[in-house]
Amino acid sequence: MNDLPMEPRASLRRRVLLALTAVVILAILLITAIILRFAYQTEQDVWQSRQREESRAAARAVEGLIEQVQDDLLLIGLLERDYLIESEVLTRIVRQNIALMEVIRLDRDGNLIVDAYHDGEAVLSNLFTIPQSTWFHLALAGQPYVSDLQISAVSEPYIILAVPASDGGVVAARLRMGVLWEVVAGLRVGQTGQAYVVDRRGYVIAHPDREIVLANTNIARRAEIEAMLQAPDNQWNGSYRNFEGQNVLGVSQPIAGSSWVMVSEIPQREATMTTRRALFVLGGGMLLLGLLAILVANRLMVRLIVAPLERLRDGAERVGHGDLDFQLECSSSDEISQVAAAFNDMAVRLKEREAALAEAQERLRDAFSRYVTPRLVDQVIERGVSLGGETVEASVLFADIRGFTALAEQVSPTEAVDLLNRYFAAVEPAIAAEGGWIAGFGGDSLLAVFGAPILLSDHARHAVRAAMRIRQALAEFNTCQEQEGGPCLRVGIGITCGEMVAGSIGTPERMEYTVIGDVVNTAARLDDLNKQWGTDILISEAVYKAVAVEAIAHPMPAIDVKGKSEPIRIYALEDMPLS
Amino acid sequence: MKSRLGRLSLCSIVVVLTALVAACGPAPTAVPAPPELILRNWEGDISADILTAFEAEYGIHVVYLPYESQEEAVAAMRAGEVYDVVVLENQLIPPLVEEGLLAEIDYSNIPNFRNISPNFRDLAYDPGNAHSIPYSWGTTGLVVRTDLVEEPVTRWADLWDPRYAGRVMGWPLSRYMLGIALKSLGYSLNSEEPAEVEAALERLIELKPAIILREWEPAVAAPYLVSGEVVIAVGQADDVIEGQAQNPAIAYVMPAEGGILWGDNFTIPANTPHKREAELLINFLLRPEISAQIINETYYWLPNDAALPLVAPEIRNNLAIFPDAAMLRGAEILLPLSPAGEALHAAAWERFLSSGE
Repeated sequence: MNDLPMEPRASLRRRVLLALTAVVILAILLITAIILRFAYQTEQDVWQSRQREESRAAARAVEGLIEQVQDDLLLIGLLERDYLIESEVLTRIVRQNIALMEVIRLDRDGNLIVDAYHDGEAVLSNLFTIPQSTWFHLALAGQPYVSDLQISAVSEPYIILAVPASDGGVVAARLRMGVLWEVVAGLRVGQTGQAYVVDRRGYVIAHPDREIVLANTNIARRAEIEAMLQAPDNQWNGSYRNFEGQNVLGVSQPIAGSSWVMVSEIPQREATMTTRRALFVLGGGMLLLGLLAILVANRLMVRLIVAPLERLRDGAERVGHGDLDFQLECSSSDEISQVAAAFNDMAVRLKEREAALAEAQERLRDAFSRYVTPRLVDQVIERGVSLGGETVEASVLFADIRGFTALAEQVSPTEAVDLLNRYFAAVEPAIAAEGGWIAGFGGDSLLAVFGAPILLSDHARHAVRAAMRIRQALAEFNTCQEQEGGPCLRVGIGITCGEMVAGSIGTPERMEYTVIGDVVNTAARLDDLNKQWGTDILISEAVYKAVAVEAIAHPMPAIDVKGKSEPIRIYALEDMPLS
Repeated sequence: MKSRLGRLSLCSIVVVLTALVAACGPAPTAVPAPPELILRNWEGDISADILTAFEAEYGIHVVYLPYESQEEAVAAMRAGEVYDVVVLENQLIPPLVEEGLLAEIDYSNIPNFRNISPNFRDLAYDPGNAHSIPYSWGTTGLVVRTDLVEEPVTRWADLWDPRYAGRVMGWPLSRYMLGIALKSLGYSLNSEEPAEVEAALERLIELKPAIILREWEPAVAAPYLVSGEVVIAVGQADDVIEGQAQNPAIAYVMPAEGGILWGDNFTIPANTPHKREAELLINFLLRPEISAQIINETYYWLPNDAALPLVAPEIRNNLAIFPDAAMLRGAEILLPLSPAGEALHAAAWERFLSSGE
């Protein structure tokens, strides 16, 4: 079949592929989600422990710096005041340690014993409020002190550290915050993370971005900072949006020796990089795999289902068009092949049935032909006719043998039947030649019909021509009779035309297709009138009108007939050329 | 203890006039009214044009509500009155913090705190300056008629010199007089040691017949010194400035035992609805040029390091106003006493007042 139809909207293949695609996508989503969830959790756990270590290291770096200064101060506190004044050890310590801006040692009343500072950086030495300072009070009470960050218009940012001295006094120092800032700025947290230090009041006191510190940024109100400051031992971790607007994974760690908290943060972008890569690779791979699966399924479906179905459809169409010899290929034993085999079987049976039907039809034709003309049989088989009762416009020819009863008495019954059969065989072709057929025999008479059940346009003319042929056939028949010494036959014919009823009449066991009505009776009446008037063919006026142009006929006296108010005119037919 | 210079009453008139003009102005429209701040301080301490400049810049009007005494303002705060900024002396702050009446200051709104001298940061009365920011400071020392004393006066103890009996002067204020006696004995101004306080009381009772006590008011000692009726007086910068104007022989002496430091601070009451605006105002007042203007107008010692270069040299170099480090060595801040110490001092003062009667 060349004219393959377009794939239908509700195509099996489309529906199966849609369902398959949905299942594949769902499966991909589910599997990817499960794997990613696992990868994400693992990655977050890994980052958390890694970050905790890094922030611990970061806190230790700051602790180390403070501890080192505090150790220096404690050492200074242990030295004899006279030695300190004479040896200039304080100056050496300050000179060697860039982080130390200034160191002072005070007696228990806050009086300065000795000081050392880098040029122009004497602040503590000049303070007159030392006895009232918080750092002096706490250190005097034996408590090491680390001040808040001091930002000043006249000095670099610093913090004050103070420790008790062995003689009951205090050693204090200013620590250059820039050094601590550099330590914090240098801390590595992952690739892109950062660490910063928050004091107990939530002020950022060390941050890679110094401007944040110099602006006195306070983030105490932020949920994560609150959580960090309130957590036991200041240890907390979680993911949040930090004060700079970045989504991060953060970990806090206390800085021992101070009230500060080291916060280390890594951007979620970095903390989820593996997961995102996994999503890319896994998702991409799964997608490709799914696509491949769908393509393969499509190919398989086309090869195993769609193509065989199309062949089946083509086969059905060919068989439908009468090619009953067509056979489908059925190489495998799958369901489609079973259908194909059943189809082939069906085609074979169809062919057998058709042959049987044709044979039956032939037999029917053969049988029927004995009763009606083969042409009529053919026409009936080909076109089909209504064999029920119907009113038809047709012509009837009624013929009987003159004096046959007397003649039959002179011969044996066998000879009488033989004579009759030969007579009928001689006239039947004359009737059939004009499209008529013998609807019934009644002893020596016969009734022929023209125009029913098969329409015949000029049935009256054909009926008259049939009468002329009968006359001719009878002449030949009588010639033969004379030669063989048999009796000669004379025949009377009556022809009428008009409306009559045609149909199958009889019992269910034996039916006869015939015509009935006044027109038929009139034909018999005309036939009978032949005896009276010594004519052989009488036709009604209606019949005469149909053949008036070509026939030679002369009118006879009108007669009364049943069913007609007025007498009908009849004509005796002399001749009508058959050529 | 802070003095109010006479010239400042002019400023207060300007403030009142400004407020009146503002009150008579067009009725407020539907536009949401900008917050209005109430600032409580000594009368005339901050001039109206400073507050006008603040209003011009921030659109926030400041109502300057002067108090007669800080105790009055504190009583009002305790009664639930709502103020936005209150200037309070050092020793008043710890009890108010304890009572939760002062808000914690957010320094992200006060970057100008960097201008505050290290001398006045993180002091024991308010660790970490959590609730107060130093505003103005001053000293209490001895104002001396140098031409009428027989040798240079250098110590609190010189008040007890019999040569000047009846010609020395002080204030009938317990913390100051007991404090001076404690200092003269080498003890802390804020001592709560019963033995030390007892010793100081005995010394004070000894002085009672020899000293003239006059209720404190600005420059109360100046006329006595000018007339020569008094040769040594417990006094402050205002006594010195007022006295020196009439007699250059009047000088300010920071006693060797250590002077007495007093200080006023900006505080923000906890019940203010405008904490941020209050912080903006404080930050504005801490600008070097604004602080310098206040110093130049009031002769107060504002501990604003960045403002010093902008202060008029005659004020900057006046040691009575801006004492140098040497003068301040050993100076002590008047701190609040514990309830027990308070009772001890009160009892001692009672005994002092009733002695000799």
